[in-house]
Amino acid sequence: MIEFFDVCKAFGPGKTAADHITLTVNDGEIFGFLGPNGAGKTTAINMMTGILAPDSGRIAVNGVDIVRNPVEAKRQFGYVPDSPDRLLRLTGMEYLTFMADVYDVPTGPRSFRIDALSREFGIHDALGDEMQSYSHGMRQKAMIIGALLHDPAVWILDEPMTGLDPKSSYTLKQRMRQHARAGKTVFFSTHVLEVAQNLCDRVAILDHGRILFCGGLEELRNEHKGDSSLEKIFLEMTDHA
Amino acid sequence: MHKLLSLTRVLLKNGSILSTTTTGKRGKVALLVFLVACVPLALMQSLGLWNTYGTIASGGMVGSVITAELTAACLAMVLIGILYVISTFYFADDVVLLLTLPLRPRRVLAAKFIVVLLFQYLLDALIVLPMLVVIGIRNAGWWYWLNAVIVFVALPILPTVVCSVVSILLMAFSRFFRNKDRAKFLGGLVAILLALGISIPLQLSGGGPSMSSAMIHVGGSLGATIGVAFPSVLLASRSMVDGTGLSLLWQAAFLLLSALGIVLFLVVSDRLYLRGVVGLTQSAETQRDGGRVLVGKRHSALAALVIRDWRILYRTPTYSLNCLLGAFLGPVMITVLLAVTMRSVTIPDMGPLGVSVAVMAVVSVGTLNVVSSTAMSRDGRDAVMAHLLPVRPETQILAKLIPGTALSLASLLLMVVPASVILRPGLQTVAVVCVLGVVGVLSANMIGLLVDLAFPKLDWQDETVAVKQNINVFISLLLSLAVFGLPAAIIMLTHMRMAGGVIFLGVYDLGMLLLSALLLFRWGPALFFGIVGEPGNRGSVKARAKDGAAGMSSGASAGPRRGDWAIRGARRLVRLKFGRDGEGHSSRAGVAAAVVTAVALLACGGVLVWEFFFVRTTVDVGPTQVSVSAGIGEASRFDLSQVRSVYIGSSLPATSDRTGFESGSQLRGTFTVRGLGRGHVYAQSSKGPFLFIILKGGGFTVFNFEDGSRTLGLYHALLPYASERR
Repeated sequence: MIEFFDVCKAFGPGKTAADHITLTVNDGEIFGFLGPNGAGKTTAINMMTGILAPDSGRIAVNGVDIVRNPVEAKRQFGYVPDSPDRLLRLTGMEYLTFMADVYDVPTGPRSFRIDALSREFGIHDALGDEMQSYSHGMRQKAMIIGALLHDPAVWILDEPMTGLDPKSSYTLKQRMRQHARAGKTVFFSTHVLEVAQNLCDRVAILDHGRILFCGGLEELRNEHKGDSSLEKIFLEMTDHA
Repeated sequence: MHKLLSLTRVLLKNGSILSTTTTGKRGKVALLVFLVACVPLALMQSLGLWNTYGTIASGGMVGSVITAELTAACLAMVLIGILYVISTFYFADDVVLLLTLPLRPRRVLAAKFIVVLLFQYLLDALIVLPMLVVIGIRNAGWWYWLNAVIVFVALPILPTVVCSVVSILLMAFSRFFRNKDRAKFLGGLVAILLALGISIPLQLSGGGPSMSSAMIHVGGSLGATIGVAFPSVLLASRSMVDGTGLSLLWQAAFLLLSALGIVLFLVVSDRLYLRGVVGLTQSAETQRDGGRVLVGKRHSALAALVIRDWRILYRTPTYSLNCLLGAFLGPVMITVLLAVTMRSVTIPDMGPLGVSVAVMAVVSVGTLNVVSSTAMSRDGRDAVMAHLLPVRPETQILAKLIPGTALSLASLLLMVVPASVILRPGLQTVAVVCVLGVVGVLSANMIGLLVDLAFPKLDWQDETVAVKQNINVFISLLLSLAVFGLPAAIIMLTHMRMAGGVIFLGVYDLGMLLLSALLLFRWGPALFFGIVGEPGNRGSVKARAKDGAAGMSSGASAGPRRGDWAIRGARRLVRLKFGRDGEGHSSRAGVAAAVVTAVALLACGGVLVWEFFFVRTTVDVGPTQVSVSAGIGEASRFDLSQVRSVYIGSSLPATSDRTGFESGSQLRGTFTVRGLGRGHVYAQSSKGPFLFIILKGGGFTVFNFEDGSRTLGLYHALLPYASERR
């Protein structure tokens, strides 16, 4: 579960990135976070993951306050950033081993998970190479595997499909559904509205730091009678925001 | 030709230092700085040759000088140029694009050859031009100037051809060099070794000769050998020296050889360039042979972070050249310096001042690896990862500290061992310097890390910015010098004795260590949390400290606070001193820091006060010897049988070369006394009587007590033992 309680964040006068955001992402659901460029999605995710501190308000992951108890809160989630260009001097295996170490993944499960996930995502044979030599998609896969190694209850994914081939995209979506069905939480941001439409139980639409809508897709359609596609609804909402 | 010129123009604009694009403005400034920096070297060389020209000419050695200089230039062009060529021909960003164009390999490489050649002219100008100008002015006809211009223009061709052909062959037939990082590292290493290889022999040969004189020595003996590899050098040299019609023949031969070299280069390019360049963009295939890649051993979070940083350090060429290599080159250079300057000097016993200076030197050299003072900057955009990991900031800070400290300790060892062999100080002194050096190195690394936490340089595209263009390195070094120079200054001003000085140094260094640790782990986490990975979101130190403090404290304040940095810094210092954070709660860490600082200062002050005011000299006349005790390490004794004469004087002659305590009229220790030589002096006042005890071995002891009757009493006690009467 992820909870935002009246969270505010500004980067200066007139640069409000989060304007009294209050929302709850429940266990067992896939939650989509949508918004145009500069809406404040990444800022919200950065606050949720401990990169930024909110100016006011409170954020909790599985009941653990990210500001008061950051270390414990960070153990609750696995985060996939929007840019996979991290630690490129390490080999894929070294990166995954590093992530397993910092998340205290026991030796047995870590070997199994690395092997299984790397085969599933198709980068098993490249694990011995430096990530510098990987394509964008391969790096993205390495980031995803690294985030899932410690089997977190909450997944926080920032545009995770970018750069993935169709098979890997499908694999990830399947895993997201499985994770939610197991009563756990998936929170992801995306620009691809079709993915949100097909995958999400609930969505939030953000613009200029404010939540314009938070709820199920049916609810959204009912509020905008006459507009059938999420794309049209989204454009209409963000144009008028 | 049109395509060649067009391609050359594009390559020059696209990335060489002669570019005229926006980024090229910086390149132009860099070029200008480089040229200005070379002026002193060129001037030095010119002046040296100018002053020695008479001797050279009368000895018929002008040809040798020319050969030597041209040889040096060609060698430099080959050594420095070969890896520049590999980088330009194979690893430049434009290679991928050029491969897709309908251009023959020789045309692509011809354009790149011109780019490299222009770079070679910088070396040509630096090494050869001063010599050509000086010789031309001193003794030249028109034929010399004509030949000199032709030689200057054509000289770099053959060395560049050598570099190019060798590079093409290496890349076509060897897998070893088909790695950009390896090439970059080797290039940097060759440049460093070349610089050392020139400067060290010059130092060892007696120091300071101009390059011309040294090159005469080298060129004279090597010229024939090098001439085989660079026949153009001999031809060019003869064309300038021979004043007859034969010089035209030599010149023609020189130009013909250069032209043949170009033809060879073009043929080799066409045949072998693609073989070496195609496939370079693919990832290395060494691991993808179907073999299993084993899961790494499990480590603690701290160990995992240290291992991660260490791997990045040695795998990134810029970091390994500037950080790792620095850890070893510094001690090597110091050792060479000591070997050269101190080889025939015997070092007397080092007093506390010497120990303090040695510690300062050890700490300074130990932190040359700049690992700690660039620990955060080297992360660059990866810094944001620190916030995502479920690891306490204190643990992450400690992980940042360990690699630099380990390298510094290795440097310390590399420096202390050879220095001990060269300088031959006592074993105790070596032990003291080692122990204090270790403590100092720990403190210096913490200081460096704290500075980099406060002012990290994270927005860079090139790793060089993080280590070489990072002012934190300079700030850290200055701070370390100040921190470890201060006790040296105190010891010098107070003329402390060895034991007292060592105790003072020990207390001071330990105090600084504790203070550094407390500051690092007290302020570090707040600064650490304040580091935001995304550019544009990253504020100033005050904003980051505020963000970090808000991130760490219970409850966030409403809105970013604006305020004067000095006031906020003072507030923070006050809070640290009195142990209160922003919410008004007492902080045990702050109280501990204040207490430890106070204790350390009190201890240092206490030692000073004790030395100044409470130490008194006591003399014990035994049956066979006299024992004198005063301050720490100021004791002495002599046998009564060694007393030659004893007498009273009304004043003490001038003293110098103190190895002891001196404050006003109080003297305790070993001094050189005018007329007497070197001996022990224990004086409590400037007023007589002074008791002089001259020993048979040539030494002496002088006593003076505030109570004159005590001095006289001692005189009468020792007079019977004197073998001579005055």
